[in-house]
This record gives sequence, structure tokens and C-alpha cells, in this order.
Amino acid sequence: MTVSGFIRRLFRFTPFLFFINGLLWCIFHTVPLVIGIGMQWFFDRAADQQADYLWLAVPLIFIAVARLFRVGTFFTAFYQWVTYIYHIQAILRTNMLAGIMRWPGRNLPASPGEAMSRFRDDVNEVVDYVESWVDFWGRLVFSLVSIAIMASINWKITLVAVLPLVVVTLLNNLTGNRARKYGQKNREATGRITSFIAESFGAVQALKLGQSENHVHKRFAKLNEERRQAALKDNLFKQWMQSISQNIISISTGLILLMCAAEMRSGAFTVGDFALFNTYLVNIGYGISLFGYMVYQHKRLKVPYDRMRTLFQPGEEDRIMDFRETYLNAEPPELSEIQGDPKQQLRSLEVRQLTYRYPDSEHGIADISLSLKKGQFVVITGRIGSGKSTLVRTLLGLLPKQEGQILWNGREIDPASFMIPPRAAYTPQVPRLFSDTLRENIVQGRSRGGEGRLNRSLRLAVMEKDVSDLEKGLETYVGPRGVMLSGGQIQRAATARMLMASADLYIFDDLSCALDVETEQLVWEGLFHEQDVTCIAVSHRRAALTRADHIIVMKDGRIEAEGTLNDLLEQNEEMQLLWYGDVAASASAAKVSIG
Amino acid sequence: MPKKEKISMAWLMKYLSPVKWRLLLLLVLLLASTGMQLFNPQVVQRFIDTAAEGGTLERLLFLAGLFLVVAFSNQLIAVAVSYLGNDVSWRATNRLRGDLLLHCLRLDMKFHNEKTPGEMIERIDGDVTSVSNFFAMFIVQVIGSFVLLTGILGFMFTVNVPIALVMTLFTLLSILFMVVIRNWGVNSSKQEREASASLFGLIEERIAGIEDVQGNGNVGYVMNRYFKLMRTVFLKGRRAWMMRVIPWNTTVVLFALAVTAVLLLGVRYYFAGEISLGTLFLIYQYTQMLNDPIEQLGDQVQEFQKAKSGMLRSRELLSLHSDIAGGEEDVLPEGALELEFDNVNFSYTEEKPVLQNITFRVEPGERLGIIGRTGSGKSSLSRVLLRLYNIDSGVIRVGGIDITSMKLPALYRRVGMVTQDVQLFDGSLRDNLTLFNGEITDAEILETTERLGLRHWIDAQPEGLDTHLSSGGSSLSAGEAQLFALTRVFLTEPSLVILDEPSSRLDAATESLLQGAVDQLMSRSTGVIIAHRLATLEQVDKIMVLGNGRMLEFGERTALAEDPGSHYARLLMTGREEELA
Repeated sequence: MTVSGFIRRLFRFTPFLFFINGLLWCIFHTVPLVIGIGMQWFFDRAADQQADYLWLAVPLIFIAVARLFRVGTFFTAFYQWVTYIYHIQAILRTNMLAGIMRWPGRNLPASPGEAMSRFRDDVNEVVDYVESWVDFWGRLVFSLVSIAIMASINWKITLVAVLPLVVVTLLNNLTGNRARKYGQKNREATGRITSFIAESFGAVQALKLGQSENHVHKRFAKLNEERRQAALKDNLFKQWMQSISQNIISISTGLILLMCAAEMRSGAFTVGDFALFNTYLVNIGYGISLFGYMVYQHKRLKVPYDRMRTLFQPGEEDRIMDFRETYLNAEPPELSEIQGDPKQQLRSLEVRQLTYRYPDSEHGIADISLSLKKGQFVVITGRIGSGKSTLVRTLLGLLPKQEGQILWNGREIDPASFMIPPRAAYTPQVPRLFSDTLRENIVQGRSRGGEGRLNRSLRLAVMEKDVSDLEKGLETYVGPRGVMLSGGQIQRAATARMLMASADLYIFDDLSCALDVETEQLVWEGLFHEQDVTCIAVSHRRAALTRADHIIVMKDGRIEAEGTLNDLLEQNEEMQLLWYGDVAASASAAKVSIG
Repeated sequence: MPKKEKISMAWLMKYLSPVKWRLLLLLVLLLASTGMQLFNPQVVQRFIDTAAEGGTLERLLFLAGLFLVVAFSNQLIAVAVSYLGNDVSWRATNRLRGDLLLHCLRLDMKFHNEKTPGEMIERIDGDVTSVSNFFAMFIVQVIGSFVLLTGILGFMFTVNVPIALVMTLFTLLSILFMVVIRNWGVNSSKQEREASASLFGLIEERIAGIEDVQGNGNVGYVMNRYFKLMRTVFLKGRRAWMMRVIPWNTTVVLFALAVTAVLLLGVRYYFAGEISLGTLFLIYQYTQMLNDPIEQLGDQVQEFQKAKSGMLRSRELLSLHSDIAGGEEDVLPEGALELEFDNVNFSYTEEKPVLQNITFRVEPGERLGIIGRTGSGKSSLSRVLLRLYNIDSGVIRVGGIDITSMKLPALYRRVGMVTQDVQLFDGSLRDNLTLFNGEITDAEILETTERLGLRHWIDAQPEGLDTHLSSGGSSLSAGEAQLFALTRVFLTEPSLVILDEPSSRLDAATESLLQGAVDQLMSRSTGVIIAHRLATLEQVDKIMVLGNGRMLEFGERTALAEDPGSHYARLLMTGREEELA
């Protein structure tokens, strides 16, 4: 979709708002036509020495009424315009957020902080452009009508008034690329700033402990300085273009005055005509300035447009202008949970030749095949960087698979859209909670099943005691990333959140990493007490390995070996290393306790 | 109330004083432009009168040419004013942005625990941007407008005193009105900024945690939350805009009345023969001109409302003080540091104690292992030791000195910690390891990573230390991230190291690889190791067992292991049982 296509679609999104804004601002901008005629009327009557006082007061009162009418129009039009602004912001932001949420989560095209500048500044630039379009109609009508009126008084004016319009438009058209370049640089600099702020505060504890506040400040000052320069250049160019337009208009106004001079001396041109020309020319000037600026804006719009589009997956960039409800005028409806289709209930899952390689890197997974049946517990193990997490992420569609198939009950599925509740649910290796209450974090809008469902999830995640220990229980505010909770509590809250989703298949990416042995045992015990639980767990802990129906040993992104624990311990060296590396340490500790 | 205003002006001056010369130049340019604006209508008046009296064409040409030159120069000045104004505002607000960032980073963790990164973007960048126009243009424009107003009125007094009086009256009325209503929109603007900060807070947080959202099918829920916040932004924003537009609207109404009154008066004098048609036109033009500065002032009131809400929010932030105040002591003893807790009590909130009566001592060079179930207070213990939080009572001594009497940088220079959650950010590998400290050389980094066995990993990266890490370290595995956190701390060569579950995400094979490096680096320091896994603790000298915030046990590791009644011995048993199961 081209920039023009995008804008056309944007106008069609809320046609009523576009129309009402165009109409109201058209009235607002064309009222000066009446005022100009009033002024001409007044000065012509004044020049006619015979007129009496009341005769002259009438045009003045007429003008005053026109001005007041204009203020009223402004107030109404402004209200509609502000409404329109937020509708534009809402549709773009909604589509962008939805677009990001369709990405394979692991592969986002921008850091979250950088994305913020797209949600804020790029959207605002589109709003600015639409603002010009809203003003455009009124300015156009005014210019056309006023040129017609002036031409009826003196046709030469038409020529001189239209001339600068052509020049200004051409000029702006020619400099489009530079406008784009400066705009791009400015935006990028801003993106670096928002990203830097978000990243700094996301890692604030590390920065504090490292005493790097001053270093961070210094770097921030440097980024700020870069943005200042980029913004100044961008703005200077914009001002320069506008100023050139203004000058061209001034020159033509001067020319018109000169042309009038001759006529005035001959008396064919009255002072009233002059007053009318004076009022109109100023306003036509604004109009011409706007038309030129719009050419500039249109050229430049490609910058924010492309920046917004990169938040979408390749191939679906045009969805930036999907028509959808934005719920600005009514509360959004309560969420209804997707009901599981009994036919789709998990019977078997099969993975064939799954491959994902990170760009520019040897890391990744290749040629992974595995299968599991309902009720099974499969453990994926291997050392750091062997591809365990990459495997589950690819399986879940958080990374886009490059080769291979995933079959659910024998039918091939697209993991990103299919491997979600009620089919599959997931706890990441380092789960993130959000700055909400603990309840919101776990429930996530799943109201069906009420407290019973919540309590079951808490019980299975071994979270009940923590909740009762917390001063405000489930209503505790957990802070960004859940910082108010301990690492183990975050992990178990995330587990409860996953269980709350009631899926056929639960995928744990290293549940054990923040839990002590006893707590972890409780989790596994509780879970296998439940009927029909199917799990895939990444783990190198014995608590998990000993319970596994099937173990997959990963090494360098490939399956090194698979089978039951006993078989693997007998035959596989890597498994022995993983298992006994642990034992050797514990054994020596045990020796100390005995000795 | 007036006192408060003064404070805010003084605060403003702090950011304006470094740019005062630019501001002065800005004012001069603006005055020059004002002068030209006053001058041009005179040219037009002469033009009309000359034309009406049948003056020479040459004279008319001259006047038209003059008009052009003045208009042209005025445009040049307008560009310069805009450039300079922008420059001033960026310079001043960048300082403010920097101050805000530094101030917030220095606030204690209690503050950070409540603020999302997205919200901070709005507070440090968004709020300040709303102030920026105010910084550059407010003072200059207000002065400029007043000069222009005075100039116009002054001219009018030379033309016709009664008409000038009417115009003055109207001007004063408009100004009075603006002074009265200047604070009307501030509150609603503040609410608008708040709503927008929470919207961006939500979006940033959910994008950062996108895997958690997607993996559990909560995209719909997130969208719903977003819709609600966007709706709030819309409702608050529309209200704020409408409030802000009132001053402008009112001046336009007043202006329409004034123009009518002045022209009606003018007509009377014209009939009386006291003024010419050209003068009547001049009066008309000046009333038109009066509109500009008055509208300008109205606009500035609007800007003022926006800016004041931003400034209030910025100052709110700057007036927050960290509960963690540094002391005076600057020097810690050389070498490994001893550590002592003396009857320490701590809680995050008053009602719920987290640490109770903790008393223990670790000699220089010794290693202490802390174990206990999740939530037993292990991590809190390390946090209070590093003064991320203040303790409620008791004393913590490092190297024999009460940590509350230490300067914070002095403490952190010697004490390092590897935290439970590894915080990596979007940036180069180098920045992630050195935390922007330019004084650490690449050689030092490589040497440390070599020792930690990470060197081969760095060498394998396409751009070495310049390799870009994405936000939250999502391009690394959690295990790799933890290795980097270790490197980061060891680069500072601390004399007391706290490892909070250093091996929690490492598999056994990698862990033993790392163990040697950790041993080597800890040989020069006292160590506190917090762990769930008994295996990590086999090298420590002392063991502390925590339970529900109390010390259940503290002593030599060997002694505790031998005592079959001790918690540690029992834990060793469960650990083994689990392995044997």
C-alpha cells in the first residue's frame, strides 16, 4: 500500500468524522470571505462622503456578527477535531499493538522502548498530516472563491495570485527527498532516546549496583545532543521551506499592490477594493502556504509510515490500516474465553525435522523430531546453549520455524496461532509478571470457573501459602516484572497463570530454576495427581528427569539421544555427564556430612 | 500561593541560565521583527494616501518596494527566531531530561518497584517535551507580544486619543482575563499526561513480556486492557484540549467587539473630518494587528497550561527523595572485607516482617552460604546489605564500618552482587558488560571473560564486543545471561561478593566449568552465596539456614553437617533422597 493509499484508507475509516471536520473547518475558513466583502462595503460607503452614520454602522455590525459566528464554529469544529485526533491515534495504535502481538514473540523488530516512539511520535505525525487535510477544503474553497471575486474586480490579479501557488508546490515537490532524510534522522534519534530510557529503567537494579548512574547520564546526554541536532536540522528545513513560500507570497502581494497602484490613480480601483484585496490576499497566502506544506508533509509521511509498518510481520504490513472497533465511545465487551473443540483435544503431538537458526549465527536447532501422547511427560535436557529453549519456542511459534512440521492429532498446524490455550500453555524460563495485582496477573481476564479454578491453579503451583503470607493476598501489587515478589514466587505465579489457562498441553521452560528442591517436588507431585496432564518440560533437575516418560538429550542444537532415563544413563555419555556432574557435587557434599 | 509561583520561576531559571545569551539574542530578533511589523502598515497608509492624492508612480513604486524588502527581512528573521527558539528549548529541556533521568536512577528501589519503563519514557521524555515550547518561546513571546502591544497602542495615541483609549481598555481586559484563567486547564492537562503515561506503560510492558502474553493466549486480554486505557486517554485528552482552547476563543470574541467599537468611533471622527480615509484604514489595520499579539498571548496561555502540567509532574519527580541517604565515610579497609549483621530487622511493609533478629559475622576472606526455602528472606538479606532498602533496626557493618555511615559509591565500589534476575538491555555487548563505564578497556573485559570461560563465546559473535544484544537479553539463553552477569560484577573487582543463586540456570556440566573461575575470582574477596542447591555450597566455610525471615541456624559448615539434628544435615539428606528416588 502506498502512502496515498494509506491516507485514503485512513479517511475512509471514520468517514463521518472526516466529513464533519472538513465541513466545519470549511465554514471556519470561508467566513473571512464575508468579512472581506463587509470591509469593502464599509470602505466604499466611507469613501462616499454623502453617507450617514447608521449607513456605515451596518457593515461593521455585519462583520462583528460574522466574527462571532466564526468563533462558535471554531468551538464546535475544534471539539470534532480533537475527537478525530484520538480516533486516528486509536486505530493506528490498536493495529500496531495487534500487529506486534502477531509476531513470533522472540523476534521483535524493535526494542520495546524504541517501539514506543513509533506509537507516540510517528502516530502524531500522521495526525499532523490529517490536520492539514482537514484545513485543506476550507482553504481551497476560500482561495477559489476569493480569486474569482478578485478576478471580477480585476482579472490580472488571478494570474498573479495563482502563480506563487504553482511555484511553491513545485519547490516543495523537488525537496521531498531531503525532507524525508531529515525526518528520518530526527525520528531515529528520538527512538534511541525512548529505547534508552526504557532499557535503563528495566535494568535499574543492575545499574544501581554497578554505580553506573553517572555513566548512564553521560550516555543519555550524548543521545540527547544527537537528537537536538537532528531535530534542529529537521525543523530548520521545514521553517526554511515555509519561509520561502511566505516570501513568494509576499512578493506576489507586493506585485499586486503595484498593479493596483496604477488602477487606483485612475480611480477604477477603490479603497474598498483595496481593503478586500488586503484581507483576501493574507488568507490566500495562508492557503498557498498550506498547500506547499502539504506537499512537503506528504513526501515526509513515508518516514513515519515505514516506521510503523516495520512493526508488522513481512507480508501483513498493510494491516496498519485494518478497519476495526477501537472502543473509544463505549467500554470494550467482556472477554469470552475460546471454548475447546472436543475433537481437537490432544491425542498426539508430533514434530518432524523442526529447524530454526538464529540469523547470522550458528546457534539454533536443526532436524528435531519427537512425538508424545496424551498423558505423557517428556523432559528435554542438555547443557547451556544446546537449544532446549529454542526448541520449545519454535514449537510454540515464538520463533518462526524454518523447516519441518508440527502435527497435532496427525494434522499439520501453524504453531503461532494454534499452540495457545485451550491447546497449549507455557511458562518461559524467565517469566515476566506485569505491574498489576497478583490476581490480575494470574487470572488475565479468565473469569469462567470463578474462584474454584483460581484456587486449583494456586494449589497446583504450590502458591497457596505465599498468597496467605502476603499482606494483601491476591490483591498485592506485584510491581513491574513482579519485582515485589521473590524469584520463586514469580516463577510459581507464572506457573499458576499457565495452569489457569486450562490447556491440554503444558510446556515448562525450566520450572526449577528459581525453586528449591522441596518446592519443585511438590509442584510435580501435585501436577501428576491430576488426570490427563500432558507436559513438556525443559529441565536438568533430577526431580523432573526421574519422572519423565521420555527424555530428549540436546547437544549443539540437535537431538543427541532420547529414551528412558535408565537407557540413556547406560548408553549416552552426554546424559551421564549431565546426571553425574550433578551427583559428583552432591556426593562430595554428602561425604563431608558422613565424614 | 504566590510563594509557590516564585519557586517555580527560580526552578525555571536554573534551566534557562545556561542559555541566557541565546535567549537575549532571540529577544532582540523578535523585537526587530516587531518593529518591522509596526512599520509595514505605515508604508501601506502612505501608499493609499499617495494613490488617492494622485502621487507619482515613482513614489508608489518606492513604497511597494519598501514593503517587499521589509516583508522579506521579516521572513528571514522568522526563520532565525524559529531556529534559535528550537535550539534554546532543546538545550534547556535536554538538561532537564538528563537531570530527571539521573535523579530517578538514584531514587531507591521502592520507587522503581512501582514504575514501568514505558511510564518512565513519558515522564522523562513526554512530559518534558510538553514543556519545551514553553521554555523557548514563552518568555520571549510574552515580552515580544507586550512590546508589540505597547508599540501599536503608542502609535494609536499619536493618531487619535479616544480610539487609542478604547483599544487600551480592550487590551487590558483581555490580559486581565488571561491572567485570571491561566490555571484553568492545568489540572485536566495533568490528568491527560497521567493517562497517556499509563497507556505507554502498558504497551511497553506487554511488548517486553510478549512471550508471556502469547504463550498463554492472553493477547485478547491485553488488547482489552489497552482499549480501556486508550478510551481514558481519549476522554481526558478531549477535556484537556477543550479547556485549553477557552482562552483563545475568548480573546477572539473580545477582539470582534473591540474592532467594531473602534471602527464605529473612527467613522465618527472621519465624518467630523478629523481623520483621512487612509488613517481610517490605518486604524483598521492596527486593530487587525492588535489581534496577533493578543492571540499570541492566548496561545501562550494554552502552552502555559500544557507546560505547567508537565512541569508539575517533573517537579513532583524531582522532589522525591531517596530514603537511602549516604553517609560520610569514604574509605574501607584494604583487601577482603569482613561482614557483620547485628540484630537486623527488616520489612517491605510495616505489617509483615521479612527479616527478624539477624545476627552473624563473616571474617575477611571467608565464604558464607545461605540456604532456605523460597520466600525465606535470602534475597532480602542481600538487598539490605547493598542498601537497596533501609533496615528497620539493627546495624550492618562491612569492613567494621556501619554501612549507613558510608558514602554509597564507596560502598558499591567494593561490594558486588550478581542478582537473581539478570538485567540485560538493548545495546552492545560492551555496554552491557561495563554498564557504560568508558574507563574499562576492552582488554580488561576480554581478560575477565577469558577467566570465566566466556571468551570463546565472544569470539564466536559476528562483531565481538560490538555485537548488539536485544532488550532483556532475549538473544541470549538464560544461562548465558547469568554468565554475563557474573562477568559484569567481576569486572569491578569487588572485595565482598554476593552471588544470589549464581548457578540457578546453569546445567551441571556448565556449572562445574564456571566453578573454577568463580573460585579464582573469589579468592580475593569475602563471599556470600545464596543458593537452593546444596551442591553450590560445598566450598563455603559457614552456613546460614533461613526460615520465615529468622536465622534457624548459623555455623561452620563442617560442624553443621556433622550434627544430625541440624537443618543443614537434614537438607543434605533430602537432597540425596531426591537424587536416589
